[in-house]
Amino acid sequence: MIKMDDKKIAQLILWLVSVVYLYFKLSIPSKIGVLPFKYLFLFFCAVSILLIFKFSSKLDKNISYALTGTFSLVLLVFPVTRPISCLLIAFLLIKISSFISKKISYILVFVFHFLFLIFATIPPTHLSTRIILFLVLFCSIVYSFIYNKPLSFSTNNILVVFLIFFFLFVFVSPNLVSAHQLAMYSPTILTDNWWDALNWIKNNTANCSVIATYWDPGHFITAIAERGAVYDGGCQNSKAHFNASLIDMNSKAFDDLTMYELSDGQIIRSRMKDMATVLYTDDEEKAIDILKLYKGNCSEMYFIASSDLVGKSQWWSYFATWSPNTGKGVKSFYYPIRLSMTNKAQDNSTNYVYSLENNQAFVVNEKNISGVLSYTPYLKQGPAFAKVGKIVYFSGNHMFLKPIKDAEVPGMIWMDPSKQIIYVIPEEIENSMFTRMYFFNGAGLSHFQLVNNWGGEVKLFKVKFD
Amino acid sequence: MVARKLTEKLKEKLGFIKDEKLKEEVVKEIEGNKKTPQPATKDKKDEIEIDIGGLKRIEKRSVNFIKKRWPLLLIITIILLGFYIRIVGFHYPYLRNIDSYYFYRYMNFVVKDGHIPAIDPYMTAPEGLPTSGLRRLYIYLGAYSYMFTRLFKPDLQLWRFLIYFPALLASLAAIPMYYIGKSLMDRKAGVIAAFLFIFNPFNMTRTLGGDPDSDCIVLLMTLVPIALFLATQKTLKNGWHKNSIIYSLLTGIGLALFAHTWSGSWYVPWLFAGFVFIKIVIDLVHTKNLSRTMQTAKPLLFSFLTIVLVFFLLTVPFFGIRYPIGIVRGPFCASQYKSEAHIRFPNVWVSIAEMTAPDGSGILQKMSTVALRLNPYMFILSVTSLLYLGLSFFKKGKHKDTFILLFIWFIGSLAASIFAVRFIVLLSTPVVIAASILIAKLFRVAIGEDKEILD
Repeated sequence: MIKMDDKKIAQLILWLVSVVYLYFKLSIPSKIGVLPFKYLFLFFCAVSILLIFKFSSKLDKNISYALTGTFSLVLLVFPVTRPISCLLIAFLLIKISSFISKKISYILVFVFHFLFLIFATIPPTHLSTRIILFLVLFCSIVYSFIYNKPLSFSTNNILVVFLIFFFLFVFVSPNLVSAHQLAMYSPTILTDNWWDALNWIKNNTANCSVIATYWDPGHFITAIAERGAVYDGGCQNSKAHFNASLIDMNSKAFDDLTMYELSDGQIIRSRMKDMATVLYTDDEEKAIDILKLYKGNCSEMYFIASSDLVGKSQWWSYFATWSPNTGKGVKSFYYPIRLSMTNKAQDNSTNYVYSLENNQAFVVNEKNISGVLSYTPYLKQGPAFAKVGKIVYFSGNHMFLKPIKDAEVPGMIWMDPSKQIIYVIPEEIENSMFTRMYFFNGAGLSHFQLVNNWGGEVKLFKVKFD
Repeated sequence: MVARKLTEKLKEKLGFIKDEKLKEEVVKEIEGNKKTPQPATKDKKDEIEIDIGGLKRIEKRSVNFIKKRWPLLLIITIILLGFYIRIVGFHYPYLRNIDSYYFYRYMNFVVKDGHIPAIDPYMTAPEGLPTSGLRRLYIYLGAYSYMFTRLFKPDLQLWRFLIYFPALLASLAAIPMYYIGKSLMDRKAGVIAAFLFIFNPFNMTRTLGGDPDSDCIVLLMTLVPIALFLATQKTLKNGWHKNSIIYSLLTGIGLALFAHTWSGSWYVPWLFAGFVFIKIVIDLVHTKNLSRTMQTAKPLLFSFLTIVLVFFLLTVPFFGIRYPIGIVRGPFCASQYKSEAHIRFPNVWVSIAEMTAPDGSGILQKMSTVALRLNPYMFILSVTSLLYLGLSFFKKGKHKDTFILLFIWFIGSLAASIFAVRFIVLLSTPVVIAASILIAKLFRVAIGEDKEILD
């Protein structure tokens, strides 16, 4: 019978911890599931095993084996606990066969794991699972070694070597591997397009120019382009102070009373609220009046509409609509949806299907009428189809905006030239300054002139105040 | 020669064997073995000849050195490897991150003009931004380190230097981390903690080469005052004397340096204050005598007051008289960061990804998210370690300081992490230390150094 003194418990915990750790390190994260459920379950398993060992010294041999065997089978059911189950079965094999020969017990363990290995290599098992099984085999041998030999001085020395090996293998190796992978494959936030754009600004704009946009690229603008930025990551919440006597209070920038504060002849405004409003508003004059406050004494000012602001629309729309009375704003989103499938309709037209969840999809029907392509967007909900308000599509090098008659769903669909992706633009931001600058390249705007476009990622506009 | 002498001695001792046959057999056995040791003697002679050459001595010294200095060798290896891994993947023509360029620009001010301008001309355009409240230590350290390195490599550009600088600073954190682990447990815990800390993927992502954001120095400078504080606690065991004064002064300086590095440093004074307070309360519960407790706690209180005094002397002249109030209000203000009530303009903190709360509806789910982001395995180990330390303390009265410090540190940073994911970086340190303590303990028990787990 096994006597579980603290030394053996410690050895066992180390061994268990090693196996579990390896399993987590090498398994696919999605297999593990959500905390705390499975981790707690696993922890429970480990504690249960300890208890089984502990009780096995007090129980009848056969009962303890039967208990361990049953528990092993339970653990075998769950992928996450299979390695532990393997080890328990290995333990049983060793114990049961120990009265024949220790060598035979090792062979049995090996055979058992070999069989399990073959089982594990059947697709679609992940490679890491196979690696785990090899490691489990190794752990089992070490484990059987610990439990089958009395701990003499020399054995103890060997055990120390094993423990060091375990530590190196279990902690050092996976940590180093993941650290190395992180260092090798972590991308930079700055991209080649941004780098080129910022250097272009540095070389082609007046030194005193102010570059306005959302706060994120602020430090890039100040450091690489070496130009003034309205705000940045260090002062997102900062306020702008203007001398009230030098400002035209009748401009549209002062239409909304919640956008400024008057104190001791100073006008205090939130830079965040102002820039968010410039992006959100559909009133070009209002945008210009706000930007005018920030241009300083310089004759040149620029505005950047960049691709990252598509995803950040929820925040700039939120801040633009934020009210001090409610302490909240309203979020608006651009929804990018990838093409799921293409099919031919009965009238020989083509349907581009962009699927959503819950049996919903946007379908763009493409018809060829006398050599001219015509597009009609629909929102499909189950078997029902409803027309969407507007669609923007490309033909050749030209962009077309087509309003849809009798549309039931408001908003706009912006179809990428490759048709691989559409952006569903809700009604409240379909005419926003950002939509008009980024998606329409400033078409129809009189105060914002597209200066340059870097890979569709960064679009630079010159702000014309005249 | 040696073998012959041994045989003769044995023969003398064989006198007690009365059975003649057995005596003969034993003598034969010894005689027979006489020839076998001969070559050994020859070998030994050879060995002596080699030893004259000094190799044996060198070998002996090397073994002794490794036996004594293995933590030093391992810490150097961890630093070098940590540095190498952080820079190995960098192959870009620019720095990694947005904030990298903030520090680059300010270091560039120092390199070019020798100082940081009073008004930053580019930030918050068109007004410009006053730089009076800026934490300057990291900026000056980076700039002067660059200028020093440029003495040996004149064509080195600042941005290229900043590929290596953060990686080096982050790797150097292994040194204070080792001392913390060693103070709280033993040398093994120190080495394990240093390793797990330096190669922790969560810390790695923030301290990669080419990303000179302040995280690298924050990781390092958080550990320095704590390591010094623990060293101070060690000296206090012999009362309030010269060494404890020196270490208390050094802790105060370390804390002030950290304050000059990062505005979020207020939590370390809170950690120290919490440690001192809980330690006194526990003593009071134990002795149930206030005057006796205060008498015992005198060295601890003197030390704490010295630390606080030095800290404020080195920070208030730079950050103003309101700075201490800011520290006291720190934890309470932190909970207001994301508040949108009763304010005139929108609060951007609600939108910063790092300032958002972890996913999950209840505290347990949020804790799970924190554990998952940090390293679930390490998290479970650290919780188990705290349980072990708690049991050891309450049952056997051991690991008192370790338990108190880690408990406050862990709970405080866990609460902060549940509030905003940004603070997980603060949690990573106590988690790593606690996990290392448990691993080291298991090693000790497994190899027989300790007899019981609660020892």
